[in-house]
Amino acid sequence: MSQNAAELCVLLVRDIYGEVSSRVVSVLLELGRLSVTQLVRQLKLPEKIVKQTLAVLIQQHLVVHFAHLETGQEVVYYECEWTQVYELLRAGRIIRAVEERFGSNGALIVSNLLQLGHARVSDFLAAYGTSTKKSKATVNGKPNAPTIEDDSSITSVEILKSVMADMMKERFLVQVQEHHMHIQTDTRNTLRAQLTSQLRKSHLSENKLGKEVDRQMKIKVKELADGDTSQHAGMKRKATPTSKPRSKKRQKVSIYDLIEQEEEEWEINENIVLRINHEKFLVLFRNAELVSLAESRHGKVSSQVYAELLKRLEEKYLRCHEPYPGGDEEDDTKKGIKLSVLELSKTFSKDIDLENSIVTAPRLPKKKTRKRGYSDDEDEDKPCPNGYGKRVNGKGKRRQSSSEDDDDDDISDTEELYDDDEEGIDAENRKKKIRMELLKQHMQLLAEDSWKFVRLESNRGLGEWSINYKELGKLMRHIELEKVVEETFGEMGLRLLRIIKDKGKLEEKQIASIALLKQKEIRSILTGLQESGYLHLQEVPKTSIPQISRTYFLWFHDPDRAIQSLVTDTYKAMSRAIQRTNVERAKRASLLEKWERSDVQANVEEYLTTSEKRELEIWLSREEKLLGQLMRLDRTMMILRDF
Amino acid sequence: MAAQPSQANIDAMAKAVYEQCLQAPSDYLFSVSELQDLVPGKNNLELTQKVLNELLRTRSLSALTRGSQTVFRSVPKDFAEKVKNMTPDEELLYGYIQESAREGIWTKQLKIKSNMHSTAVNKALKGLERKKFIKSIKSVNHPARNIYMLYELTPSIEVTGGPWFTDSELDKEFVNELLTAITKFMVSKSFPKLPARGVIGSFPPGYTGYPTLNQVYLWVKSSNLTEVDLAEADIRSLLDVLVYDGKIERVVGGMAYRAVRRPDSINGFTESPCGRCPVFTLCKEGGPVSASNCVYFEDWLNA
Repeated sequence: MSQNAAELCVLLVRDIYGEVSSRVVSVLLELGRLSVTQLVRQLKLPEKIVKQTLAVLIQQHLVVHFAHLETGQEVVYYECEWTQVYELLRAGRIIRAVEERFGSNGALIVSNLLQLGHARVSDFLAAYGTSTKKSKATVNGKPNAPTIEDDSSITSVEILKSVMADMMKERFLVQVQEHHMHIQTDTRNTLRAQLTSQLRKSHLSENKLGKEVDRQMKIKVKELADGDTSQHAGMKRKATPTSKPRSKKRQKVSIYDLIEQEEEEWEINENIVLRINHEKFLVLFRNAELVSLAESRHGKVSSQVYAELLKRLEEKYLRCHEPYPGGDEEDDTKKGIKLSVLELSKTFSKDIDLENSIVTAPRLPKKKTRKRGYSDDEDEDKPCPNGYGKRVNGKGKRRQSSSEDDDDDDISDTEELYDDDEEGIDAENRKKKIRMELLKQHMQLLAEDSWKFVRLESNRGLGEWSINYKELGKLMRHIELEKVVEETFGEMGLRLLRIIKDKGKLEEKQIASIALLKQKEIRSILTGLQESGYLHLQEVPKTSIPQISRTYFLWFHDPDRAIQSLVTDTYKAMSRAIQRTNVERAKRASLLEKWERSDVQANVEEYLTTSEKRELEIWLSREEKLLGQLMRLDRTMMILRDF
Repeated sequence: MAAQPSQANIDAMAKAVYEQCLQAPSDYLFSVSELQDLVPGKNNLELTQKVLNELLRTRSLSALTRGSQTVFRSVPKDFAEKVKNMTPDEELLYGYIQESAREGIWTKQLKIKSNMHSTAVNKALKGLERKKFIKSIKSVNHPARNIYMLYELTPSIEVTGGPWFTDSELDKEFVNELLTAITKFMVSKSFPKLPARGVIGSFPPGYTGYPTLNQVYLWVKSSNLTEVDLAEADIRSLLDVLVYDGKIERVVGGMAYRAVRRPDSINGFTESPCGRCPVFTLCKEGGPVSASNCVYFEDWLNA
């Protein structure tokens, strides 16, 4: 992690958990893992306070630990899990996402769990059962969490339980496992040591042994990270399966429940301990980001289609990145994740108007054919209702055709649909088929784009589509970088960056001639790009003795390094936004103190002077602006780092 | 032995020989014996000598050596006309300049080739320039060099830098104007007109009617955008630039182009004051620049 990230993490902890916690985190981030005694020495604080602080931080998953045997004694080391610290920023985002999906009850559960770190279901429910007020008070204590106002609906424990179960099923909540609390490196090292000693018995050569261990490690680590993915993980059979009628809300939320209901009644096991699964939320955020990208590129309707597709595939993705590095093979296993248009259309929302919001060929048949006249298209066949040239393509041939023929195949699929219509199936069915055809066209548009939003896997069920998240992630990162370059260096900077990215390594003169720009003009931009870390310079001496005059200077772009330097800068910008908020707050400390007093709160009009009120307004708008900016920076950060 | 031929006679003979020589390919080299055959009154050495002398004097022929032999080359008429009025220095330099054709030749190289003193070279060049036989041009690659070229020639693309250069400087305005025009054209061809305004439409997948390079070329030709004669390759480099600008993309297997919608360049980083801060690298808590004393933040918050 970079120094800037550490600075940000310390600031975040200070904001939420106070000075002492932030000092513990700061020391742990600076020095790495430490035992309690070492920590005490570094912090110059009483051991009791250090231990209490560690307990809080461990409860929040901000600090993890691991016990080592050293000279016959167990020594426990503590390490700061800084990615978890960063996640503190996303509390608001997560609550909002849950509220959208599971309603205010979901938001309530999540905001409490964010507050608590993790909690046993029974404890959670007990605390909730005694008083809703109490849990609300804790929500208010957290600066990032919006207050949840639900005085009106008194939610029963039963409903909460079912929402919790749904959230667990979709993996927004997961059971806390032992390894969650442990230092990851140590967990993996122990695992590796175990595997090695196990496999050594099988008398493999050292080389083979290493490879085998690596292979098994990958599986084991994945298993650990995935946890229990079985259908009824963390659930238990309901004692009385008949009685309770389920809330309507729940049925709306999850389609799986409908299927489930027919079989058996399950409810959440109250003995398990739950926590927020940040990884799964990232999958959600990534999809949202992709949809907005698709919208800017193809308009609202295509993006809605895309959103539906992503939503349907969402459950199959547990996280954005594989837990164990170097897993290129993962892509192969992911290939199984695909969805056909036929499947998609089954649950596709009827509210989305596919027909009138986009011009597809059927609406402009004349224009289409006229335009086609320009191109040297070979087929001279009549245009059919959907605007495609009619191609006679046997069904048998289609099934065995190679991928090159994909386009043609799609067309013949369409043909069949229309043929069916002509045979006279009722209007409802016909409508459905037109709709499906439109769906497919949207998918094809998305696939045709050079950004490759979707990928055609096969032609079954009107085409099966998959998402190449790895490439899309790269693309999103690059787009983000391009935005920054364009904003900072103007259009010329963007042009230069894209040329260099496309061509590899280039001399200044060549760049100028491709970009149709003056060499003198681009020099300063290139240097600027280099200073920001987005471009790099390679020297190649022409002679054995390096001389500047006899050296080629080649510009090149290394995406990873460029993104990395942008990430570090973004951390820094985020820290500054928080610091500035603190500065602004400190400037008005006495006013804010007064304002926060309960008697003043109750009677703002009377107790505050006009100038005080004005100042308060300024503060509120400034705070909003700064925090809003922080969230926008976090969005950039998600794209750059997490997707 | 015939009587001494008169000067007029020799002139006429010389003219006849010259005409005959011009029939041969321009770089054909005549040996003495070949020329002897051309002179009437066969094998009259004395006469041949006189005719040759006359021809050399009027610079209708130029003498060269091949191995140990002396050979002659006919000089084209118009050139001979010009050369008549030149000093020998000028004539020599004119030859080199002519050889360099549309590339032009650098004065330094002229000096080396002619082995003349620089003042002599300069004097001769001045003379030639005054008589409008040669002109001085600027090269894009070597803007500092004095380069000469025959007056009636236009410099080659390597020298001028192609259609994008005006007076050996890249004409940015011209390029930008063309880029904007082509972008507009591409946008008009890439998105279908919609019945409802404000809704983004798309052509159906598999659409192949996007403009190709040739269509763009023809459009630019017919649109009177510019007087400069642009080749298809020039249009291609313009389209390439637009691709690099992210305004258009290649479709239909690279055969055609279409405009793309670009996402807003709004970005969490650049819209925050830090993303535009000129002293961002210096910014540090407790340093000369920090979040607490930042003027950019103050401006931004007040905005």
